[in-house]
Amino acid sequence: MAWLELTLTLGVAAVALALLVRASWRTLPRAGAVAVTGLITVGAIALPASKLSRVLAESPTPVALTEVAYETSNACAKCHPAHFASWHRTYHRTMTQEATPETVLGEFDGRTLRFDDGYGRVFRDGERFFMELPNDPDLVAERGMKPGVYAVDRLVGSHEVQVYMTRRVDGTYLTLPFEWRERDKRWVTTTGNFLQPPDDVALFGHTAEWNGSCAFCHNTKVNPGLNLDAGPSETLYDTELEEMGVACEACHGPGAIHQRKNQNPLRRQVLHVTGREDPTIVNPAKLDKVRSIEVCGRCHGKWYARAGQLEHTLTQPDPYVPAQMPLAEVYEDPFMLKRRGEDVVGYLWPDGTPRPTAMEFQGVSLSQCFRRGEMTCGSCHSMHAAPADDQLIAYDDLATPEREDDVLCTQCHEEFLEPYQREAHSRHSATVGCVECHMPYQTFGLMKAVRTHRVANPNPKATEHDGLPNACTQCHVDKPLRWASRHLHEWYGEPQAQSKLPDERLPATAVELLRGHALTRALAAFALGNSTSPAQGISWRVGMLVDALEDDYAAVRHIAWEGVQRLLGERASTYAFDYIGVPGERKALISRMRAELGPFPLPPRAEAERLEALLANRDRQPIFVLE
Amino acid sequence: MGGWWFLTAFVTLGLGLDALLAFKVGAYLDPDQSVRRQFWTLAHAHGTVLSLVHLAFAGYLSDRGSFPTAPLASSALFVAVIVMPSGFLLGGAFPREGDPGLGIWLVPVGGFSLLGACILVAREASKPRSTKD
Repeated sequence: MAWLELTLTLGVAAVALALLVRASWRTLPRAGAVAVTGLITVGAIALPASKLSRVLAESPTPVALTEVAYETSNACAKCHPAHFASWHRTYHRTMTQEATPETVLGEFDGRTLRFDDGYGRVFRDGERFFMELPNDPDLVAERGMKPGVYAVDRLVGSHEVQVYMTRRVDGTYLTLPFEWRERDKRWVTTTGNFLQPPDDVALFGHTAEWNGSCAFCHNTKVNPGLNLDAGPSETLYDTELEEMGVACEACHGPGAIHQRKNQNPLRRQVLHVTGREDPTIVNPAKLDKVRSIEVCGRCHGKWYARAGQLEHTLTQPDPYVPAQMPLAEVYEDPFMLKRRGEDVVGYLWPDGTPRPTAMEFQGVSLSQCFRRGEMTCGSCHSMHAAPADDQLIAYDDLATPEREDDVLCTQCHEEFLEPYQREAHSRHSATVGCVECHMPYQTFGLMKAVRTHRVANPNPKATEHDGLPNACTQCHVDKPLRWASRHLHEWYGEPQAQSKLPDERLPATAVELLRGHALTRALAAFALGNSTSPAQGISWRVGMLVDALEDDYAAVRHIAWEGVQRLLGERASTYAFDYIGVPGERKALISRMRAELGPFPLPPRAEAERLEALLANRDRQPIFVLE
Repeated sequence: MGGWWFLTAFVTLGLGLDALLAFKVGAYLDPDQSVRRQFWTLAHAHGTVLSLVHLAFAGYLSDRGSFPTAPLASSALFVAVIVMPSGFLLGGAFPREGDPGLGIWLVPVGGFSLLGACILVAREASKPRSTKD
């Protein structure tokens, strides 16, 4: 197309200039004709040619972006209005915002919030928002906040959850203990937003310093600005953001030189026509696969300050600039820590599969689709051409009636392009998508079970050895692990699990919900509450989920209650269960449910004694699924 | 005569753009095609107005009679009426990243040509009109 465009343009220009020269020689005296011809030669040919040769020589020159200044998204909007608009619709933009009536989603209506770990009041005065934390010694943690009224100055999040922060006089932004869950349109405490043990940390202990933690990934190019020598009345943090929220330059790198050089229209045209990459800016879609996933992975991945460099990390600007260096050169990931023998149990299943969301980088980097193939984040997601909710690429024109998302996989796996090919491969109807088996729910975040980004084959051995939930039994919740293992062996030649446990006949999810640790229980509760599961019988699943409403972990109670609601539909609406409500009220409601909905049958092939034994042997290790 | 044919061509282009609107053609109306919309509209507007200028120039010659540089002014106007709209049309046909395509470089060529034509005609028009008894 570039050649067609070039030919048409040069053709029209040549004809036009020839006409003018011809007319001038026919009309004007010789001197005038020479002058016109000269003007045309210099103005339309020689001058552009000299500028062109300069641009052609300059445009491919590499630029060290680590030394370049940032410009903010408003500068980008002038030349890239469509990309600016598509980014503007995303939740990346609104990741961090100042608290205003336009940005605050929570209902600061003067109500008093009461939870099993504390209480307080949220209210508004004109355009300002406040939280009042009560003067209750039982709620004050040693290192937490003090009672009082706190102004909401800044906030994080606008999609699932909104967390509020107050600014202290020393420059620290401190997260406040009441958070707004936009998905459920309700207030919660931190325990109602993360999978963490039911500990004795009082309400005021649920706070965090934003400047040295959250700020990094919720903004563009952060300098925490920690003042290590600050005295009691001095500024502790002088935090600088190149732009609030995750903006253009977080992924494309600093844009000052790009903006300056591309004010030259000839340069832009040369880059367009030649198809050359512009070295003054980063295009993640055109990077090699490792550098490409690092751009997203800087924040959709877990990273630590390098050993001995924590102070440097908190006092200097974030050293990472997209595509300018390997990410592992400036930060360490959990795999590095694990190799050194450090505790990363909150982040990884024993086989290395990430547990929390926001570790998609680590999941993808373990996937064969990435290691042996060319899969990157951009294979399935797009910042500029996808709905804001999950930013999955919309393939409307290629969508099949069976599973729209399958086309993301068949971009590479062309052998499964047709539904019948996928059915032959999966031994399931084409309504069962690729992700059901290859990206099961092994991850948890913001009170949701989430598909793992470690794309892999179902592996009962990983369930047997590492407790990783199995894709087969997550749908077939009434089947034991051995059943899944036998089918995978018969169909695909996978090695069989060698489980010798006496409960091998029980449904795997039932075993996991009773005996597993908190994360396993949350994921099992999610599976049992799946209303589209082909499993036989609903009553035994409702019974197990009602039992799980008594779980110690708020996260498990939340998932179990969502499952009950899905399975019972309208009938569940008569029970206003609050997973972080006052314990006595919860207990009374659960008793009522048992009386009105029960008695519940036992899971298939189960005996009451066996279930009690599993419960007695529950894995009670404290589990934090930390984002 | 040329002016009428130009006017015919650019009125037809206008009808073509109306048809793109009427049939909701995505290549013209999609939100990310704003550059194309803008430049094709400019092509239609410039072409139509320059055709009218061409006709006005013909009227001027008919009224005032020819002058020595009239063929050059006519050619310059002829070039402008072809090159400027072509530049907008080609620029809008191959847009990239908020920029028009390469054809946009034709617009200044046409612009200078139009400017030349205007100067030649203005010079002539500034001369005192000869009176015939």
